[in-house]
Amino acid sequence: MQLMNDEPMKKQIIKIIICNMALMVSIPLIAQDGNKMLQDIDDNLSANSRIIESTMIIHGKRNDRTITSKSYTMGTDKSLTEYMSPPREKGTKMLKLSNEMWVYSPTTDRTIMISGHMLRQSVMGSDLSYEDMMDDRKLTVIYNANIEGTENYNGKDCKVLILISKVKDAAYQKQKMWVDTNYLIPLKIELYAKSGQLLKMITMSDIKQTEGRWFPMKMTYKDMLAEGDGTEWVINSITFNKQIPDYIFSKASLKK
Amino acid sequence: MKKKLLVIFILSICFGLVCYAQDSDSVKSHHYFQFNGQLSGWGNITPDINTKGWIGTRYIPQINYGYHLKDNQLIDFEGSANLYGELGIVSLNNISVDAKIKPYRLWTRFSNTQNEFRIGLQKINFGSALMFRPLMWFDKMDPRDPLQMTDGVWAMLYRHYFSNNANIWLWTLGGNKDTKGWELFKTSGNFQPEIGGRFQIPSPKGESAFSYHYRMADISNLMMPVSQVKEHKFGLDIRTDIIVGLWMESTWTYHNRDIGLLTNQNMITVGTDYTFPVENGIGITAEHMIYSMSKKAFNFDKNSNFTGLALNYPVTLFDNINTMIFYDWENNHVYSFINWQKQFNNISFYLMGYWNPTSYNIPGQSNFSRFAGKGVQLMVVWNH
Repeated sequence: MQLMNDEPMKKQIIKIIICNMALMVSIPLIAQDGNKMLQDIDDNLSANSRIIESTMIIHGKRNDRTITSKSYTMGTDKSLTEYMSPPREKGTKMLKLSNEMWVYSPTTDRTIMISGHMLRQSVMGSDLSYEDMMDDRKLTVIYNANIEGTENYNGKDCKVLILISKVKDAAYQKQKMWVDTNYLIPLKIELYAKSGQLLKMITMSDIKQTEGRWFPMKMTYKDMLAEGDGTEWVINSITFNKQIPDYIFSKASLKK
Repeated sequence: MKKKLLVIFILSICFGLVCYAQDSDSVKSHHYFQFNGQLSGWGNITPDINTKGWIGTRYIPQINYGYHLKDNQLIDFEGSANLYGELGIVSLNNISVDAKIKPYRLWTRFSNTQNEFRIGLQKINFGSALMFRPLMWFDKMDPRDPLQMTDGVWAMLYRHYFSNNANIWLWTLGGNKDTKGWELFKTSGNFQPEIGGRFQIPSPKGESAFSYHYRMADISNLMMPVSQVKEHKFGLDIRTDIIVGLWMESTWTYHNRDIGLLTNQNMITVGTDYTFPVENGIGITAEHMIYSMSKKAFNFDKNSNFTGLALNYPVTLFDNINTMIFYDWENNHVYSFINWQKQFNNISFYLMGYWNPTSYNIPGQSNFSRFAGKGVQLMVVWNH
C-alpha cells in the first residue's frame, strides 16, 4: 500500500530532476547563444582597421552644433581623430595609443597629454565621452552576454541581450541591447553604471550593407544625466581593413 | 592632306584638353588653399583703475597653402595678420586710441612622415604646466585668455619624431627685438642667433623632456662694464598619469657674468589634475611655482611662491564655467578669475569677471595682462 502511494511521488521527483537538469543544461546554452550573438555583432561592427568620415550633430535645448571629423583606427589600441569643422575646432587632433591620449590644438600649436580621468569627459560638448569614442575593443572581450528574451522594437523582432562586464576597466558595467536578428546589429543599447543607474542610451539606424557587412550609419547618443536632445553621429563614409601607415598613429601626426 | 592635318590638329587639341583636364585634377588634388579668420570684439569695465573701460576689436585673417609632393612630403605656408584696434576710456574727455596691424604668423614648412622643418614667424611652445609655465620661453600666453593669443617668434625649427614617439626639436631664432617669455633682458642687437633644442622621450605612464636654449643677452641697461652676457637656459619637464595627472616643470637660467641677483633664475612648477565624477564632471587643476633669483645657482633663500587652482565645469553641452585663483604668498595677494563660455557652431560668447590687485605681480604676466584690478569683460568671437 505504501509502495502504491509512493509511485506518483517518484514520478514527480523524476519530473523535477529532469526539469532541473534541463534548466541546468539550458542556462549555459542561453549564455552560449548570447555570447554567440555578441560574436556575430562583433563580426559586423569590428574590423582590424577603420577609416571613418563622420558628422556629429549635438542637439541642445534650443541650439545645435555640428562637428565633422575623420578618424583612423587600427586594432583596439591605435586611433587618430582629426576635426574638420567648425572653424574653431578645425585641425584639432586626438591620438590614442593604448591607454595614453594626446590632444593637439592648432590654436595653441601645442600637444597636451590627457590624463586618464579626462577620458570620461565629453568630446566637444557632445553626449559622447572620449572613452565612448576611443574604446574600440570587441564586445566579446569586455562582456559576457545572456539572451533575456524577445521584444519588438520599432516594428522589428529583436533579441534582448544583457551584457555584464568581465573586465575591470569597462566604461560601463552593464549593457542592455536590442539586437535585430536579421542584420545582427543592435538597434538600441542602454549603458548602465555599476550602481545600476542608466547613464546613456544609444539608438542605431540607417543600416546599410558596406563591404559585405551590415553597419548602422547613424547612431544617436543620449547622455541620460545631461540636458539636451542627444548627439547624432552620422557616418558619411567608412572603409574597413585598409592598411593604415604606422606614422598616422604617432605624435608626428599631431601638427598643423 | 589638309583635312587629315586638320583632323589630327583637332584630335591633338582634344587629347591635349583631356590631358590638361587630368593634370588639372591631379594638380587640384595636390594643392590646397584655405582662407580662415577670427573676428573678436570685447568690452571691459574696470572702475578701480585709471583706465575705467576698454572697447576693442581684433581680426585675424589667415591663409594656408599646401602642395603635396611624392612620398607624403608636403610644402606648406601659413600667413596671418593681427588687425587690432582698442579704445581706452579714462573719462569721457580722455579716451586713448591704440590700433595696430602686424604679422601674426608667417611661415613656410617642409614636412614628411617623421620630419618637419619650419621657417618664419611662428609659435614655439612646449611643456606640461598649464598656469605657471617655467618653459614659457618663446610665448606669453595668459592661461585665462580664452583666445590664447600670443605673438610668434622669428625662427627656424626642425622636429624629428621617432617611431617610439620620442622626438627631438632643434631651433635657431633671430631678429626678435622684444623680450620673450620670462626673459629679463632683450637679445643682443649684434647678429648672433639664438640656438636651442629639446629632446622628449616616453617614460612610464607619461613622458619626460630636456630642453636647452642659448643667446647673448643685452644688459646695457644695468650699467655694467659689459653690455652683453651669455645666457644659458636649461629645462626639465616630466608628466605622468597615476590615477591623477602629475607634472613637474623646472628651468635654470644662467648668465656667464656676475650680474648680482640676476645671475641665476630658477623656477619649479609642480602640478596635478583630476576630474571628479560629480554631475557633469568637475575638473580641478592645481599648480605651485617657486621662483628664485640669486647670485648662486639653485639658491632658493630668496624666493617667491605662487599657487594656482583652476576649476572647470561643463554646465550644459553648450555652456562651460571655468575659474582660476592664484595666490601670491610673498605679498598675500589673491587673483581671482571666472569665465562663463557659451559655444555655438561659429560664435562663442565669454563673460569674464576678475578681482585682482591693481599692481600686477604674477611673474611672466605683469607686462601684458588686461586683468588688473576688479572688472568684467564681455567677449564675442566669430570664427570663419
